[in-house]
Amino acid sequence: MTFPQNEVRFEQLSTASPSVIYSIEEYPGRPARFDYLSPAFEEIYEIPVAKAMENAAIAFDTFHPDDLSGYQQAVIRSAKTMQPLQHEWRIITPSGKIKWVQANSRPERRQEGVLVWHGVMLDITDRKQTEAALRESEATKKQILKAIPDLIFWMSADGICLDSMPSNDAFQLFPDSGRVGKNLYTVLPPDLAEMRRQAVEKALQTGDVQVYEQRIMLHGGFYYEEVRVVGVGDDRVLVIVRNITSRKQAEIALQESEERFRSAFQDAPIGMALIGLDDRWLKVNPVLCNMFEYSEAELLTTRMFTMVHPEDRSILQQYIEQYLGQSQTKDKKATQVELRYQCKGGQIIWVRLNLSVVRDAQRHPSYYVAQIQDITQEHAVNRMKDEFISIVSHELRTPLTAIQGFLGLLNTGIYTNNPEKTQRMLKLAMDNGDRLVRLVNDILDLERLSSGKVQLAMTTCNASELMQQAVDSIHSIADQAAVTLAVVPTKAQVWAASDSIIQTLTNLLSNAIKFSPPQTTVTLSVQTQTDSVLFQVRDRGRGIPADKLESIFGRFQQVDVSDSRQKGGTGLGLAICQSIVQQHGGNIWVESTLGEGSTFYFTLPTPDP
Amino acid sequence: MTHCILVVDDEEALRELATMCLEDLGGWQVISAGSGVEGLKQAETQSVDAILLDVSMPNMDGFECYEKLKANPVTQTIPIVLLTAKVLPSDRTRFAQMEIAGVVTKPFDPTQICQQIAQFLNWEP
Repeated sequence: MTFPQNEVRFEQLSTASPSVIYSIEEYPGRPARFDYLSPAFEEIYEIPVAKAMENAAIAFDTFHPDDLSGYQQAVIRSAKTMQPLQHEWRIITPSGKIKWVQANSRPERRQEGVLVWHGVMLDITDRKQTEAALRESEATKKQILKAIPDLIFWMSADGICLDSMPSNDAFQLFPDSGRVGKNLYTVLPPDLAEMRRQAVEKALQTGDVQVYEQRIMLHGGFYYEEVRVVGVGDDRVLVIVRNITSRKQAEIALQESEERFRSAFQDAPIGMALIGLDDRWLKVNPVLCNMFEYSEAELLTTRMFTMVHPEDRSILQQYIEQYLGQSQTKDKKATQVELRYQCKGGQIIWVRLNLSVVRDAQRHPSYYVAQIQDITQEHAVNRMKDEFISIVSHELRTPLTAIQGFLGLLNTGIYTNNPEKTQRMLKLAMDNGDRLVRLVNDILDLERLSSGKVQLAMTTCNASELMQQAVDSIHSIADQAAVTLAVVPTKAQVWAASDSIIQTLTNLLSNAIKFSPPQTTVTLSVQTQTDSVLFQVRDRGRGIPADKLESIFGRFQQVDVSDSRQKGGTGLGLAICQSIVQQHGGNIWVESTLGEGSTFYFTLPTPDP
Repeated sequence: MTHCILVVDDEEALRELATMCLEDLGGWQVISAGSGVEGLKQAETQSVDAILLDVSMPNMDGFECYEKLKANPVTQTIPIVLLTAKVLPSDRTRFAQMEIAGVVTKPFDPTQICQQIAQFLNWEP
């Protein structure tokens, strides 16, 4: 190639090049001067090449104020050492754009101390911006990682810790000092290390994040961590370890609390249920199932309402409506209602039902919590109490009416001249007074005995003495009735409270005398048994119908109510006897044949040998 | 004309007391019966203007006697006054459902019982 051809070729290349090709001369003590500038200069500097060739200062005026001195120092250094100049700086173009420029040039020394740099200048603004963005993104990433309260470190495929985020020790169970460079088998217990190794292997194999939890025994307690292992490249993983002890403890506490609640529900000694608003059983406990004689599965397909006794359904309806109505604004304490339910077998039981409603966040009812208690027994007792009160009231009011009535009549003064009628009225009033006293005494006796407040003072007693004392106390009545009392001698001994046994025997003797025809004998005897003594009181009276043999020991359960009027009894005598005998640990019963007589039996314990 | 009252009570003393009150203070004529069965018989066979009926009686109690009196065309129109020591709310509910002229509770004031009964039956005192 000839020289002129080279010249043309250079010119073509220089014109087409996006880089500025330049030569710049520096004389000591004179401003610099461009020797050559390729057209790309104008594109970067927004200054015509000719202008810059004319006056190089125009180009230097574009220097960013902060970067000029740096450039000058680089030039001086290059001039001194004659080493290539490589420098980057910012310019501010006439249109106000800030651009990054990089120059690469070689110095050449000419005559008279003239230095010329030949080189290229590039617009590296894009690269610089990318670099800045990258730096910023790196910094942001670092900050983010720092802010994560997890332990973060990098690990090689073979389990060596490569690097570790330095912060966040406060959140970690293990401070990270000294972790780097160590194998996981030296840091972790064998089982946890093995788990980690497997996670690393899988993370690298699959590229998926591996997540698992580990429990660590530390400072005498258990701590929990969640470990995430992420593959980074072919042979490294990022390990993120989070301390989840408090979350885990809360989970365990919740689990325990749920378990406790479940057991409170399941093992509650009363029936418990969750009932839907459509009155279906949602959840029932075993006591409830037993109460209604249904299996759990059967109950859960039954509606609560259909099990309520038809007569009580309106009561339940009313109760629910009232309860829901009241609690619309403010939940009232759950109230209760007593209802009859029909069990599976058709049996009717009384239950006490407590409902409370559970509401959602919008205060709409969601379902009911029910406590259901079988009070059939209680109901029976209450009914018996009511009956007893009713009877006592009647029994007390009758003699009172007579006493008050006759005295009231006498008080009017209209009988002053009628001594016969006056006498009759006084007698009736007196008789009823006696009856009232006996009745009150018996009621008090019975109450004292059955309340268990009286501890009977037991001693060893001779059975024959007890029988004799009872006979002595009632002898006059027997004489009046022309009934003979016979005691069969015995050496038997019993463990008993003597007064109460004499009272029992007296009651039984007095009954026997009342129902014995004149000129008959009432026999009192005992029979020693293995560990008890059997007392017998036998009469030749009219006998007791078979269906009354048990009930006569109940309160006010005379064979014939009119007996108490005619025979002067209170209807409580046998109930008192039964109470006394039972307190001795014995039994009392009667055998009887109508028209032939009755025998009352009771047992008492023998004294300990 | 003197009113005739049938007193039905198993308690002899109370029967006598009622008889004395009604005869000696009220000036009425009294027939008495010691049981429900006897009361029914008297009510059917005697001409009585009212019945003073005890509630608690053995065998046939006042309630049963009442039902029988009301079921019998001969006796169903005779006004009945109950005599009772029953004072529980459940008893009162039951009385309220019965077709009776009134209830006298035991114990009663012997000087007041005639006025009380007369008032129940709208009789001139």
